[in-house]
Amino acid sequence: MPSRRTFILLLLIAACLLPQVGFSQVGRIAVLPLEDLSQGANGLNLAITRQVRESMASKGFSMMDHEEVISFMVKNRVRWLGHLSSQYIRRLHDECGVGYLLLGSVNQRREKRPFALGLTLQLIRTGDAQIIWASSAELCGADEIGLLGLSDPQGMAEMEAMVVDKALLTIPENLHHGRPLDIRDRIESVFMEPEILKPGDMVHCRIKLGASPASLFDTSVSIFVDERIVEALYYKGENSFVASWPAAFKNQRYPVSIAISRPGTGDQEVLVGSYLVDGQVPAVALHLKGQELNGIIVLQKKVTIMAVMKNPEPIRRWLMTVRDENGVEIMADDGQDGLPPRFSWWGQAQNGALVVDGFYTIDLTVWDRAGNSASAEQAIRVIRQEPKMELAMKEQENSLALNLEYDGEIPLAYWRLEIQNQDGDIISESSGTEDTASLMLPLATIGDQNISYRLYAQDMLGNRLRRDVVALVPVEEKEKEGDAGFFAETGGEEMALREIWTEDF
Amino acid sequence: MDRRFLILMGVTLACLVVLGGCAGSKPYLQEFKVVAPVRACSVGVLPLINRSGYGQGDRVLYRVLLSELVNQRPWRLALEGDVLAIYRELRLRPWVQPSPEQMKIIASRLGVDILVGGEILEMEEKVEGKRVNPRIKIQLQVYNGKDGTLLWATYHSRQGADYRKVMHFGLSNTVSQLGKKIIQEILKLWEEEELLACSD
Repeated sequence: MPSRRTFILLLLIAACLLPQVGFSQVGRIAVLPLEDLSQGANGLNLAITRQVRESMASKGFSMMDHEEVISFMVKNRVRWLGHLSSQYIRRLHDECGVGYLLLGSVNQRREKRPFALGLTLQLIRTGDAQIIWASSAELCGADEIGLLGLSDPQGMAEMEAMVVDKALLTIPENLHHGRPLDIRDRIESVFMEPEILKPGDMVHCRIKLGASPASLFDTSVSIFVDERIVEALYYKGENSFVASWPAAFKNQRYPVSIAISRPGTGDQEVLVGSYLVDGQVPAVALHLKGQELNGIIVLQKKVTIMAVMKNPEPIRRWLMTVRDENGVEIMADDGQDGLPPRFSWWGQAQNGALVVDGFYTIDLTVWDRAGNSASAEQAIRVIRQEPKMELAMKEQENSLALNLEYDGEIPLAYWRLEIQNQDGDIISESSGTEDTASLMLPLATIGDQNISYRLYAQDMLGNRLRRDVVALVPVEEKEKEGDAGFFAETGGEEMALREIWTEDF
Repeated sequence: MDRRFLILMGVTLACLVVLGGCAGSKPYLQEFKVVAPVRACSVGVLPLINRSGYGQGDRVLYRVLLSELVNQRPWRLALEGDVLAIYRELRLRPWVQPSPEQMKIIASRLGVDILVGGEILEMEEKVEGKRVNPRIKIQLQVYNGKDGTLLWATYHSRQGADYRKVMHFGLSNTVSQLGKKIIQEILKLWEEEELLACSD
């Protein structure tokens, strides 16, 4: 049993020690793992981190355990290095009793000769989240540190030690706590949405302050926007102040400020964001590029559709549809963020099949960032008929009269006629662009042989005709039937009539 | 020797000395007129835009700039973490210059008087045998936190060989070291021009 005198002595010793313990706890330094920028965006350098820790400990600083730092990072989901926001720094101060935070990055590290290493360190006082010291040091194997290279580092390990020592050379030996500022009212985060909206739409704002729920019972947060004041309500579960209000009707950008009021302290007004009210409907027009027939664009292989914004603005979403004469949607395409400068339609339905001939409507709808929508439409016609061209043959005196006649709605682009004898030699070749044509072929050039012809024709839309007629024989030699024609098809197995209609797909 | 020839030689040599000594030695400062002097007691540094091909060059120079600003004077500097947190809230990408409206919001949230931003136009490190010659071209802009207007801009370009003293002494052999020197020179110029005054 200790005597009374001993007990008093022990109490005095404890009283003397207590502030020391408190000081050393608050004055502890946490060293966050150093970011290694030489390894890319997510580089980490634990070796230099350890060297920095050891070097600081050797200078007499009280260091937070590395494992404790890592568990703090894990607990708070700190997934980045080299920087930390005051929100986390405050937690380090409040929860871990850390007085200072050392952040740093390895800016450069070259392991090939000449070696190079660059390091930046910064010391942040956690009480007020202020940077109180910073240093950068760098060294290269090519640096002439001393005469004759006597002081040059011989390897990377030696260079690391030299750079760490150089960087920590100016760190103050006695870190002063200063006068910690009250960072309880610091705004931790502000989330406001949407950024762009239509007149009258609701704006939602959530404000989180850097304070515990217990200290926020007498705090009020007001939002100033468009000469209005909106009081934010405190939600204990989220530890946030939440407010919603309808947007004004005038199209413009509205800055949003918040004021934090606490009894006994002055109001703190901060501009936290802005939103844009956009009630303007986007003006969109469609232009189809193609052959026009009777005032309407006709599909020619494909049609190019160009969307033009009369007052260009960013587009959030677009939808293009093709409808038939009955209004049935046969094809649709859509996209997000940005309108393509042009579309192409190849006359196919959604399943890839070619659409039937007829009239169609192409419709484009766009939505701007606020959700205002506008549409534009254009009619288009699909015609996929073969050019209607007929060839009539008739004997006239000592010649063979050939009459070509085109009877199509679409203007003819060209025609070509080739007549061949039995041996395949071309005995007549002619071409033109007229709808009707008459040709005379002397019978002497034909003789009594069988002949064949090949007729090509193409209309302005690209629809093509190719007609091959083979083994035509003179009627005289078989059976002449009045004026039915000088030549007749031989019929049966001997006659091969091929009509090829092609379209360039 | 002809006297005119001697005079011509003298003038040529004088020109070479003057021009050679001045080439690229001082940052180019472009100052914009301000209606009222701006109080610069607290600073926020915006993420730098890296237009060079040097990986992470923006972050390297950001850290160096922050470090040099801390050492220049005991003003209040916004934390990099706070700047990035506000960028996330405003859905801003760090490689895109914020608009004046967004600058106002960032400055107000950080509680700073001025914002420093900039872009790295060129950053490279040529290793030739045992020698290294880094080269950096940078442009820094300073914005008024109150209205987001550009106050002044400074362009500076340097290479490691510019700092040669005698033989190989004085050479800057790393981009980190060259970046530090460049930023020190820019900050010195701003100080000399009394652009960073902290008085009401």
